[in-house]
Amino acid sequence: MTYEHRDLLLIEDSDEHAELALFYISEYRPDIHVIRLADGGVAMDYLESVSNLTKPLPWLCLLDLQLPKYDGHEILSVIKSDSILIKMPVVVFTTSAAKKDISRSISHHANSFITKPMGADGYGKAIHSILSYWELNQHSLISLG
Amino acid sequence: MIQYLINHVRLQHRIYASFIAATIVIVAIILITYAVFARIDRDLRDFIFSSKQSRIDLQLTAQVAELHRLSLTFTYEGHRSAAEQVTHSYQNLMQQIDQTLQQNSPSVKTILTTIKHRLESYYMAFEQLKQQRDLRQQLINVEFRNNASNVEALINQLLENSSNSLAVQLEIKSILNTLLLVEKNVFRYLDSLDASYITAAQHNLNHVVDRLNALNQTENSSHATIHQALHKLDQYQRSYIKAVQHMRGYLYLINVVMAAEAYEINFQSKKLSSLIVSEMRSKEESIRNSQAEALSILVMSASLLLSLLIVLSYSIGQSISIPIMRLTETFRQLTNGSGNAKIFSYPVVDEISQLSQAAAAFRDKNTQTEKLLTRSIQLTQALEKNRLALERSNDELEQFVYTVSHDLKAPLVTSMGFIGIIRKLADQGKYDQAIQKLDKVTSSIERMGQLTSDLLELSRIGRIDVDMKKIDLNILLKQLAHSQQEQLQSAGLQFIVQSRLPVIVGNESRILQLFENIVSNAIKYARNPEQAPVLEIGSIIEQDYHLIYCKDNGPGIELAFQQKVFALFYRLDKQPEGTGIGLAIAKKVMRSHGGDIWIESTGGKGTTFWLKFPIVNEQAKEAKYDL
Repeated sequence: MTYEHRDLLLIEDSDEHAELALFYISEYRPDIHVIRLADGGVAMDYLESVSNLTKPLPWLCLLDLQLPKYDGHEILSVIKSDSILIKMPVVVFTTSAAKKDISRSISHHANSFITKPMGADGYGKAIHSILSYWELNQHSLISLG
Repeated sequence: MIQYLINHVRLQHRIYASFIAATIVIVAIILITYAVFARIDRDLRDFIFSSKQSRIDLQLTAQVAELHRLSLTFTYEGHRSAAEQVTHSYQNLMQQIDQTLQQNSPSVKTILTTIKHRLESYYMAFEQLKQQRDLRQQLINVEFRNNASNVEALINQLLENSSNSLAVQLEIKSILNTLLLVEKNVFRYLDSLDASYITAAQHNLNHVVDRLNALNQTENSSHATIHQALHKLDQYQRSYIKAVQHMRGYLYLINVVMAAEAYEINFQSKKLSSLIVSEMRSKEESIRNSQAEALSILVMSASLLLSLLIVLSYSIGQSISIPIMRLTETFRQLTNGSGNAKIFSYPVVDEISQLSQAAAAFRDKNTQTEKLLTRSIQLTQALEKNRLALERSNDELEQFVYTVSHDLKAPLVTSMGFIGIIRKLADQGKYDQAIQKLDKVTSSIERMGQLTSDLLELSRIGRIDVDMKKIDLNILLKQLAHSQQEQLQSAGLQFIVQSRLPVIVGNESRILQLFENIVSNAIKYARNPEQAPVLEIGSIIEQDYHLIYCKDNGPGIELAFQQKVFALFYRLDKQPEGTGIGLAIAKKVMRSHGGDIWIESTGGKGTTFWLKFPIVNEQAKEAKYDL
């Protein structure tokens, strides 16, 4: 099993949640480079530089919805209305399970909507599943090609 | 006039008045026409009477002529019936004249009286004539004939007594013949009135007398008889001369006196007829004049009355139609639902005033309806407002629930996640690391406790705070500065409170909490690379509101986030501590005080929080005195 260099964009304001994610990602796929963006403003700036091609397009994006400055929905609509960013799959990863959030995200072309699990092992399993699922996807051929 | 009718006369009376006026006018015209025709009729009667008189006058002339003819007939022919007829027609005439005299003008009367007198004298002359003629007749029939027969008898006696000489006898016979000739001559004269017969009779008589005288000388024997005969002859002559005289007398009467009278009558009657003609002429003139006058009066008065009628009927018609048209207009407006349609005042009590009252009632209804409509619109608006408020509050509630569930779940997820990690680390025997992670669990649970208490606080605002009283902000902020002294000093924040802050009405603990939040925000964000951090609080008055400003010189808030910061759990920055509830509480406090809070900021140049409090009247006065 060969591992390619992969950037994972983690847009998450909660340091604790970010730490959890990083822990499980590094446990499962230590080769994945996690870029953590702590609020909406920072995320927007980063995405803009990706769009400018000054930064490479990340392989996957984990997006929280509740963010300072710009929230997850705003960021999602920016990503999905940009011709470059649109190639990046966005997994909405949030504590919310509200229908409103789900439908809004799906209609903004979120590639996936996953609620952060509450159980002691749930968080790790969720991260594993997301990573292994997107590992199977061939989107990296166009997005990184 | 129309206005007067509208304001003072009832509708029915107006209609009656128009009919009465029309009737009066028609009757007046009829009366005038009648008067005019009566006058014309009177003139015509006069005229007809005059023409009748002229006819009588003509009859009179004819009758007088007839009378005279009859008189002449009687005179010459001696018919008694003619005389009777004369008397009869004289009486007729007198009767007619008397009748005419009763009814005539003075001038005609005078003439008629003259005629009457003339006729009377004519008749008297005729009476004389009749006497004379009777006398003459008697004379001729008795005396003259006696004398004639006496003379004849004497001459016949003379003839018998005479000598038998033939010459004498012849002479006597010749005398007798001559004598007979005299008689014959006289009768001829009486018949023809030819004077030559009288001359002949005289000559013959003289001849008889001469011859008898001659015979007297020759015949001695018969002197006595001859003398007698001569004597008788003389009587004879006298009698016939007397008859002739009588004759001449009555002829004079008939030819001179009576003819003159007849002529006079004719003259008078001509005068009368000319008088009548002139009278008729003047009457004709006057009839013509009066006819023209009457016609012009008729035409003028009729046209005057008709124009009066037209004016009257126009006024009455207008006085009826104007209020009705006004009402029609009013009702048209009323049917459009107008509540202020103009209703003209109508003082008289009649059908139109009833209609006006109905219109007024209609208008009142409309006004009520309008009021109801306004009220219903107001209610609808209030309902809409309430509905919106309810919707908003529903939305807020939903938002609240949503945010709460999200933000409450987050520490749970964190703690559970770390518990998982701890378990894993423990399994792997990394106990030190595991114990380190326990702090994360603790802090997240603490955070959850903080969130819960903040949320409780938020939910209390406006629900429990009914204790509103006057708050002097000067005092309140002084107290706040005092209690926060430590934190302010540690953050190095300069807290400036302007003097003359207003007195507001509110819940003291909430207002205090509000300012605490603002101050703690300022402390959190008191980062200024250029100058020392400052928070300044002051106030201004704008319309009915006190505007309190809280101005810092911190990093500022970009326009895009100026609304968001008041949302529940919204945090501008993840670095400083906070639950994201503080400004949500501030907003809710201001709303529950009938005011508002908003931000004015330009990125990097500080933030100003504006607090708007409504001015209560008393305060307004005080504030004005202060200024």
